[in-house]
Amino acid sequence: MNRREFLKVLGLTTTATVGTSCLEEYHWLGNKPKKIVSPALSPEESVIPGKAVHYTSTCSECPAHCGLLVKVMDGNPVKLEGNPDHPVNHGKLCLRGQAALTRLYHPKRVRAPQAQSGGKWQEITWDEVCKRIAEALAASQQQAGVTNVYLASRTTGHVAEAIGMFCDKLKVTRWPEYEPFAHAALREAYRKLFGRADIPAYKIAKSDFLLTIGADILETFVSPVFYAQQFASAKQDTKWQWTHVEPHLSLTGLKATQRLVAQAGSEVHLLSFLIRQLAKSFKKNLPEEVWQLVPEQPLEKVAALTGIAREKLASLATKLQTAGHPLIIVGGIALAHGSGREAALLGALLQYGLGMLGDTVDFAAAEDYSHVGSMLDMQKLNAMLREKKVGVIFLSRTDPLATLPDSSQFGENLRHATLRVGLGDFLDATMQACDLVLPLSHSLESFGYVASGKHLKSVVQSTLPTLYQTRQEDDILLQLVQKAGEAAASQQIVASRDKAKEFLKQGYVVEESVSVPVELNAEALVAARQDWQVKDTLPTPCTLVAVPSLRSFDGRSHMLQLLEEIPDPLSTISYGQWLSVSREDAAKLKLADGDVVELSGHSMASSLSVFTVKLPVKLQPLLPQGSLSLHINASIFSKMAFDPRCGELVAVWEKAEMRKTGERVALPILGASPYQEGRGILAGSKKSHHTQEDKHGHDHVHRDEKDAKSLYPKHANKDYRWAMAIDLDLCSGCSACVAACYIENNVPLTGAEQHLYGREMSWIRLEPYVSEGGEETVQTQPMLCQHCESAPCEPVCPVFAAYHNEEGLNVQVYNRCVGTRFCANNCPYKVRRFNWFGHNLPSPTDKMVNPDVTVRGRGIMEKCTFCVQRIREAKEIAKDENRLVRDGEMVPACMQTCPNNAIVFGNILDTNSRIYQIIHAEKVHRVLEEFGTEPAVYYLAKKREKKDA
Amino acid sequence: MQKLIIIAAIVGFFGFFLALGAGYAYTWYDYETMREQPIAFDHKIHAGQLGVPCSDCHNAAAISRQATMPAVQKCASCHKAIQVRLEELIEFEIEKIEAEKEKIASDFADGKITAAERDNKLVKKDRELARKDRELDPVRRKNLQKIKEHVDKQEPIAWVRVHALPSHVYFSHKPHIKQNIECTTCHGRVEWMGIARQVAPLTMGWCVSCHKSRNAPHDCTTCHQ
Repeated sequence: MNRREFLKVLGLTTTATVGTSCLEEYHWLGNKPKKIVSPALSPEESVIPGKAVHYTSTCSECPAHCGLLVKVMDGNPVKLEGNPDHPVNHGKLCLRGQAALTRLYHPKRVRAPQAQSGGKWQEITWDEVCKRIAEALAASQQQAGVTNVYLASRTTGHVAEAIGMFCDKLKVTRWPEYEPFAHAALREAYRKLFGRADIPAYKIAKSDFLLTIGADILETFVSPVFYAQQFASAKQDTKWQWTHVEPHLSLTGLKATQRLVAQAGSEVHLLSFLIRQLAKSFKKNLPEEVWQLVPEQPLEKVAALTGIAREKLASLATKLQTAGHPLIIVGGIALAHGSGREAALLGALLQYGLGMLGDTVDFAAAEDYSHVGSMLDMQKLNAMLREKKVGVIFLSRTDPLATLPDSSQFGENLRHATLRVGLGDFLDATMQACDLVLPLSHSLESFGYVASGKHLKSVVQSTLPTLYQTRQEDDILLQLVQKAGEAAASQQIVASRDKAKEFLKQGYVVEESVSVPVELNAEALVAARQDWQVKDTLPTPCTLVAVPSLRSFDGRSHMLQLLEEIPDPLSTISYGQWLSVSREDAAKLKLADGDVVELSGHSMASSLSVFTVKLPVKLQPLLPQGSLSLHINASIFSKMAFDPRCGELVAVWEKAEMRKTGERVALPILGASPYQEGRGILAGSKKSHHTQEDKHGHDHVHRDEKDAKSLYPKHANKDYRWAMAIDLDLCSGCSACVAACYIENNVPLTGAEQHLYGREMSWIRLEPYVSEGGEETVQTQPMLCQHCESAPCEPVCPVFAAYHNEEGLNVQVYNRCVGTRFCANNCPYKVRRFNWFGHNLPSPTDKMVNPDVTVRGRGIMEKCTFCVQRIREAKEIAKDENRLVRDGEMVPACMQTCPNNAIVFGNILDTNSRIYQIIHAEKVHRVLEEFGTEPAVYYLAKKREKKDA
Repeated sequence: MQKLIIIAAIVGFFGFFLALGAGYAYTWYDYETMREQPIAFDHKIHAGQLGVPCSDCHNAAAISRQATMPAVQKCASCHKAIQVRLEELIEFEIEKIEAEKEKIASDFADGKITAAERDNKLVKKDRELARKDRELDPVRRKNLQKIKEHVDKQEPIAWVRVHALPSHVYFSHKPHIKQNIECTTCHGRVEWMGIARQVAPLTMGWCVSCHKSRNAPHDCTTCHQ
């Protein structure tokens, strides 16, 4: 490029920048008033414009049904928080719960009932919908041998009653509900042994030793927020121990005191070994026949089969034996293979033998899975469809086309039904195969209740009028029932919904339950011997396991972009799919991150489960050698088979092979390195190359405030100095804080392409680092703006947009920022985010904007503010009462939602505050402290030690 | 040719700045300009003559960040009680005068009064009628009619915002009212205005000068959100 061309380009880009910047919100032409103030006709007493109102409701993003407090501002729900009193989640939410709000405002929601004719969609009225359904129902009832079917995903509460009533009155068969992760083997085991096909509540907080085999209790297993809360309270007892057994690497495993790697499918050997070892200390006697199921095996053989060291096996048995209140949870990946049913049965047997039932395993507070079926029921339905025995089929909130294996040809068979009616909120694969699509209202637009547990009813409250022409499911059924002339039934539907009015304010009601003593049905266990399937196979060189994703669960949350934007906490990959491989396996094939491999899998459980797929790899430290793992999505579902004995999905392919293709794919890996590179980022790690500096007399590591030398004067704090402490012992990396931050602070979503440039926008991120020194482990560390006392970003800002305020906050004034990015360049923590583009908010996502936080435009630097808007609110309340903000009143969004209670926030000038106590009583660590930045975010060391001890 | 290019360049150069100036002038926003409102609500009568306190209609100012606009039903309820009754009274009186006029005509037909007497009386009555008619102000009637329509249609009134702040500003009425700042300090003498308009610039410098003079917090985070 010569000088002339350079000037031309410079001129053009300058003009273009100036020209387009006029379109931005902050322009020099001033603010023209565009808004109109339109008051409500008769405002309710409680609704005051500009004031937030909180409504109780229930999260519908997964079957756990956590209690919600919905923050509604000017008529729009803007944030979901947990209901602090709710027995399931105690005020906490997971990342999917936080993202549930984006489902309500998703631009692609179905907005009106639609009919498909000849591949084209046409909007129709609700009356027409009813007419067509009623006609089709009447027609198919005339035909002999044809059944009408109602298939839904797990439904509880008033909708379940409405479906029951509807099916009863209109002669529709209510099919067992379909959940891809239905815990079929586990429920089958409990049904066989104890006659209870439910999932009990596991009382982790009550236990003193926890053994989890495969169950990812902190990620997706049954009710993850409930278990995270239980974990957090159990962890308060320093003597509490937890051993996790898994074939791969999960966040749950990393949180356990001891993580044991067992060959996938060998859990059943481990369990029989434990039963044999603990037989003497069994509190209940097992019938003689049972012992034939658990062959006595020498320790060496068990060690060889499972891949767990002998001494570890022995100590595990001892720990169980000595524990006063042991708890064993078998689930997840431990049951998703050929001998999964056996593992579930033996696990239940062990629970029974060690007297956990009624103690740490509570059937009285069980999850209600009574209507849920398994893959076997879907197989039956599929067969009926194939034989053209199904008339009208209702598919409600379920996507079997995306989650059933291709080999079932469900999509083909579905065409044989005379009328396919889809109820849901998105045009997913199943809905697209329907004749009629009936849009359902979001739970925030509906009214009624759901059952979070067998005896726990939780209110679903509408917080805004429906955005579109949607209806709640029971309203649709109500109209159909009314049309059929069943007045009494329709009244019952309304009456059952109105029960929720009784506990609207509290948000939930716990009904009294009588705990029935659970007795062992030995006959059923012995009968199970007939098709007992345990193989004595030694670990295979390469095993593939597919696990549910923390972010999309069974695929039902895959359309929420926020969940894709938040990276997977272990691999730090945001968009796309990948295969996690161990460092050893990668070295063998000379694989690097992003190399595409051809993966083929053979499952021992089913000859059907054979597949080949091309995937990019990601090297995962700590993943055991020979183990490949990936997250289940639609493309994996289509290749999964199920156990024909219990209907559990098989997610283990014992004979997997990987072949390098030579192709490369750019993966959006947001974490630069999984290693600390000797920087001592995690608490308790050694600094390597900085120790050399130390020899030269720069003792950076433990600087006292007295010694701190800074070029800049110390800041004076008036009433507050806000600070945060994060307990890494409790942080599991579940990313709920990240999602909460996105919603609370209107953080824009940038998309996959921008992520490849490293232009992610999250204000808080989870950094998974391999710990150095001692036993190797991965610790996720939340990294957010450290609000340094001597912040490197502040002095370099030419326009004073970044400055330090008298409360210790490192403030960023958005409309003062000119976008030089000097601050981001100078920040050693890489927490400042730059808006490379303006982020438009397609309608109706603009309604989700938190009005307390500015929507940043292009060219603006942004970062964590310690939720300054919440600080302002707390201070305003305190000022009204003429006092200072009390400890615990100011809760930032990340701390509010943290399911593990890992975050503490407060004022360190208040010597009675929790944060002051923690910082002064426990061993704390500040990241890169040797730079003299004096961060206000303290990390509690992994192995907690008292300072004085 | 070269000459043409030079001329074009010069014209283009100055034209660019002219266009810029024109654009600036076109989009110039004078905050003091009165905005046209869907209903010509007269603050002069309500706040001035009748002395209704500001917080009667803008009733959330002391508890919320927004002062809020009154609901349409609030307008309607007052006017039903006062204005409509008043109008009914006038209309009743008009009807009475009309009846009296008819009686005069019938009296003349019956021969009770002479033509001259009749004309004299009718002129008096017509004057009375005109006076009563004047009391029914057409603008006021139109406005009331509009309010009635909004109530009937259950439709909120779309007032045009007069005092607008950019979205990066956090402002709350509540603390200002708590500090006993008069409404007029920022909104001017609305009771003299008729249709309300903005009198203070609402710029950062204006806010900060007041905050400083009253020793109010002036950290950036106080207002910048």
